[in-house]
Amino acid sequence: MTEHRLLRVLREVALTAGAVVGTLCLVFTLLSATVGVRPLVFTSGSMAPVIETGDLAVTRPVELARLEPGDVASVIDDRGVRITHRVVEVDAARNMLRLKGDANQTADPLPYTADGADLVLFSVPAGGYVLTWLAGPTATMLLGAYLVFLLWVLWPRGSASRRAVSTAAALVLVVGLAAGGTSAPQPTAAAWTDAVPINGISQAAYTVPKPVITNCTATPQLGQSAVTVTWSAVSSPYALTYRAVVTQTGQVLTVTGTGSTRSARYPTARLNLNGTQTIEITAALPSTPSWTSVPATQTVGIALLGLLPSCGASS
Amino acid sequence: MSGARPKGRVRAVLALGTVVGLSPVGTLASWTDTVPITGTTFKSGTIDLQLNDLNAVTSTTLSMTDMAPGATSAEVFRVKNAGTAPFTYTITGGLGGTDAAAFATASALKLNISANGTRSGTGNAATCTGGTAVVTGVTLTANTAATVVGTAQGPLASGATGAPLCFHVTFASDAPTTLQGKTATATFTVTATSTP
Repeated sequence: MTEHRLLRVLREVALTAGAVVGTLCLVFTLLSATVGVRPLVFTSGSMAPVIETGDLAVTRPVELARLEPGDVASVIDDRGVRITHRVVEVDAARNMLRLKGDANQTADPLPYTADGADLVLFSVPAGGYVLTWLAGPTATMLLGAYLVFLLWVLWPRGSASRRAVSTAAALVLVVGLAAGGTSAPQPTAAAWTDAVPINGISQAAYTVPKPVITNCTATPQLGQSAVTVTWSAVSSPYALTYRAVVTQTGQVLTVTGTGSTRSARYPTARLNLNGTQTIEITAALPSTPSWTSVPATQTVGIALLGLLPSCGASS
Repeated sequence: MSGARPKGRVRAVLALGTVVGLSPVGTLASWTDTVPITGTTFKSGTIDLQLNDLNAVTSTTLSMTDMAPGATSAEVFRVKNAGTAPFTYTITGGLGGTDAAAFATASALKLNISANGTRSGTGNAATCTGGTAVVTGVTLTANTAATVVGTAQGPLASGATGAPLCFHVTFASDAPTTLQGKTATATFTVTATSTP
């Protein structure tokens, strides 16, 4: 008698608990099929302490435009891994989303590209562990045994009403199995990130120094009148080359000398002109001649058709 | 027995929902395009990437002064997983400072990264030799968050040291003369992400 009573209590508990859980499952399956509600299992803890490893979250798909910074959203990254982090920035126009794990010091390194995301509605602590266990072989066997128990309870025993009930049960089962596929829990990596900066890098381009004109000598000598400009080669890590050009005529003068002093001689004797001319001295990088310095200038006065040259101002 | 049966049947019908919702047959078999929940491993622990055993590194040899076109610099960084969880990593970086845009517009500074490369040479002629190229000729832009290495590298297990990364910065040999005297700072960030 007591044994019979114990069995009856067990049966009542199994039926009531099963009915509660089963109703929740049916409601969830219905929401899953209609609204797209979906369970997520957190396999890591970068959303701690709000969502810990092993928690279960329930999500609903939304368009990017409906997300706001502060929401927790789930997306699939370009490696095919589902990431669930807090929204930092949404750019719905460009389908871009930046996320950051609460437990991470920095945002995820790359923005995610997506039309939409799964918005986390709420989370159940440790629910993921339970769901994962339920998907395992032990739980599957227990669930199978429970199914047999349910069928035994529902098995028709001749009367028409009992047959109707069992037919309805079978229908619920078939429909439910068909619709149930939408609610499979998915693991989500709420990935931790850790960023290490490399600082202190400065890239300073060289400035080709302007030559400094140190001397200008005018030599009025019949037939060999000339002006000689002398400048100092500025200290440089590069073996700079020098170029001397008469601005007005474009005439390139020969540069002589090596080491710290260079000079260029401008023969003026046969110039049948009077007035002022300018000699420009520029330094350049030997490897990249286009990298030139600011020119140093020397003005030269020419009188008596070049017979009487003179040095003017230099800069 | 007869008194409890009708009530019991209603509950039994509802309880069938557990089979619908929880069984692998009901929920998982038809869900084929995602990772199955079975076999999911839960991870706890910490993630800690270190470069040269530090959590913030100051470069010692990547800087250049008096850069002429063609100048190069190099430095090797050791990546280490000092945490308890495995990770992969990506690298972002770019130029800062007032002249960053000038360098970026001219595509004047480029970065190569090679795994297992070693630094050779001195001054503005230091280069990375050997190793396997991770990225080649990445133009540094005026955005320090730009992607340099977007493909996840690794994974590195807890306590593991990855291949040393040799960074090699080149000042383009066709850099325009307008860049004379200009300075840009470069910043790189190596970000570890725990592996799923």
